Amino acid sequence: MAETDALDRLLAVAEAEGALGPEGTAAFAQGLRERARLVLEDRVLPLERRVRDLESAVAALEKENAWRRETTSSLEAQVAWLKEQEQGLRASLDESRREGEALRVALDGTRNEAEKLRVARDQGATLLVESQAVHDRLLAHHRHVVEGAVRQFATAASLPLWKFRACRAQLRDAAAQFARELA
Amino acid sequence: MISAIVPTRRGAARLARCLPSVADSLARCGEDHEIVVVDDGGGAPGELPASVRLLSLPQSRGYGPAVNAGVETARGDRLLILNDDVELLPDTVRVLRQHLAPPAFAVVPAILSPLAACGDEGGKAGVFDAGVIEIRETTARDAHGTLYPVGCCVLCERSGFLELGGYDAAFAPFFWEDVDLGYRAWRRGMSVLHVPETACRHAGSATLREQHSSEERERVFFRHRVLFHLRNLQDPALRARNLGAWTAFALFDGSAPRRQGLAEALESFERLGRRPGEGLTDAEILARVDAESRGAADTRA
Repeated sequence: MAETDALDRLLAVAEAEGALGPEGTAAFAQGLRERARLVLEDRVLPLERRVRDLESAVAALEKENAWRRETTSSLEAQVAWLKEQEQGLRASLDESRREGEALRVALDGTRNEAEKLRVARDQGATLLVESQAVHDRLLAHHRHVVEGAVRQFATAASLPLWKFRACRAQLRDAAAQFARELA
Repeated sequence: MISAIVPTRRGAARLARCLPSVADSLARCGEDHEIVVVDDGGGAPGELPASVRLLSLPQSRGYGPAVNAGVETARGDRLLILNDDVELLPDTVRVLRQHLAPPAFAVVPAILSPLAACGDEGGKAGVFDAGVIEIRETTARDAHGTLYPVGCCVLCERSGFLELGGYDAAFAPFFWEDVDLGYRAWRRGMSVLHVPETACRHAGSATLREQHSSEERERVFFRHRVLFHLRNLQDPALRARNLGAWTAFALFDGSAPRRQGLAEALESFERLGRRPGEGLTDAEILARVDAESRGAADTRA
């Protein structure tokens, strides 16, 4: 039975029973009005609830979107700052590299100098050793000459008085020899 | 003698769980008894105790007709009509039997069930509101009048049941046959009592949920709700308001099952017409039930 038929038949029953007549209409209308309110409330209340839920969801989404926009803006500012920091750091890094290179060059120079000084030191040490040896040899020679002269003087001094000419001759020889050594 | 009538449809597991409590409660009631299981076209209901009589219907006709068929074969002068998912307490039948006396035609216990907001399906009052008799739950400590004997567990006089014509087949397969029976009983000056002193447990619509979709259940419920009013309301003013109420549904209700149910109810009503109106008026019926409910409610602690 189609819905319109059902309504027609319902109204036909109502008419047959006098519910649509002068005495029944008020009661019929009362039933219709009271029940219609409940039926429509049953249909409308869930929709109103759904609308309220949707409005709450929309408000929550709008709040979330606002938060997202704010967060995005903050993040973009942070990214810009970070990029700026990166550029500064790169410049500092380049400067540091240049300084490092200069220091490396300076260090190499210093190492070369140090090597030279070491060589010079070694040479100096060698020279000192050689000089010391020459000095020792010269000292030994001078000591030997002096010791020789002392012996000649001692010999000359030991001659008796009447051999003064021989003594004078030994002293003349010793002096000549000593002068030759000192030349 | 008490004849327990238990209609079932593919309820082997439910019967296995519940029948022992029924047999035990009957055994303790001090009266001869029998148990008749009516298989409503669902096939073998499982293994039944030897003492249980099985009546198999060739095809399913619904709850009311199945009970009526069982009553026809029953030997007892009192009927204990039960759903196949109802468990009785040991004293249920005995206490109900104590309260079954004229003018009470039928008595129901506290029906502990998840189907009732207050937990007890047994107590019902009727309030005419916005063109329709709205059924409200009532609770009390003492026995009190209830609008109808809830079909899942009722002890009644067989003579009264037959005098009323049993469950009306127009309400097959399910819903509102018990409301219709109770209203007709009150119309004739009989009463129906709710006896909270004892109880039973009802799992609740097990068969219906298993075997019928929610849309079908909604359609049939609404159809029988409309048909109950069209068949039973006698007061012209209440009928006019009632017809106005159904018109509101026809105009504004968005539920397709309910709109279909309304159409089917009108079709049935055109065939069956109104019931004879001898006896108490609608207002008197509702007032009596309300008075008895309130009286018992006042005795609550």
